[in-house]
Amino acid sequence: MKKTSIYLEPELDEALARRAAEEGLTKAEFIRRSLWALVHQPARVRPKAIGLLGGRR
Amino acid sequence: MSVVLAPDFVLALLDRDATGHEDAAGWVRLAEEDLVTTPLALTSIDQGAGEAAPAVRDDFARGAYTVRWWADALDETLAISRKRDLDLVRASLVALAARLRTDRIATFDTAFENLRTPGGKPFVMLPERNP
Repeated sequence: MKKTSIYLEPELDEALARRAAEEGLTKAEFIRRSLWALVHQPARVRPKAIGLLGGRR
Repeated sequence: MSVVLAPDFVLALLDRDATGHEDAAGWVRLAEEDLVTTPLALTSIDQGAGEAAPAVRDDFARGAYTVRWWADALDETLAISRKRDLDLVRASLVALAARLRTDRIATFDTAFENLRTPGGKPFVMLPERNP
């Protein structure tokens, strides 16, 4: 595994620790699982039909 | 969380001259919530979209918007329409809000300023307006 250092707000750090404990995981493992879920989440499909009408001004 | 999608929002997105177009376009590019509407509202969008209707249908087909209807939807819509003296499209959106347990609605329709969800909460109209 690659070691990465990031800065976290104390509130986020505490929330991560709390959620990890609730899941019975180390904080590092909880962060890894959360990031895996995030990067594999499909990108939100955005509408393309924007500004197709009008143009009177 | 889901956001109820009203027809006027999609029509404002389509029309560069519509009031709220820029706000709608900016908001929808960043929104992470599911945008959900009813078949009644979809019909209203389709009728209002004119020559852009095929492009809007493509957006629905691609999953940019979702349509929800359920077994009791008609009964709930009719009951809300009678009780609040609303047309069926708006009533269906109020029923949908209850179904999705959301108070958030993408609309510029001022009728929703005075409407409440079946749970009694005022609607949060998106994009949020500056006072």
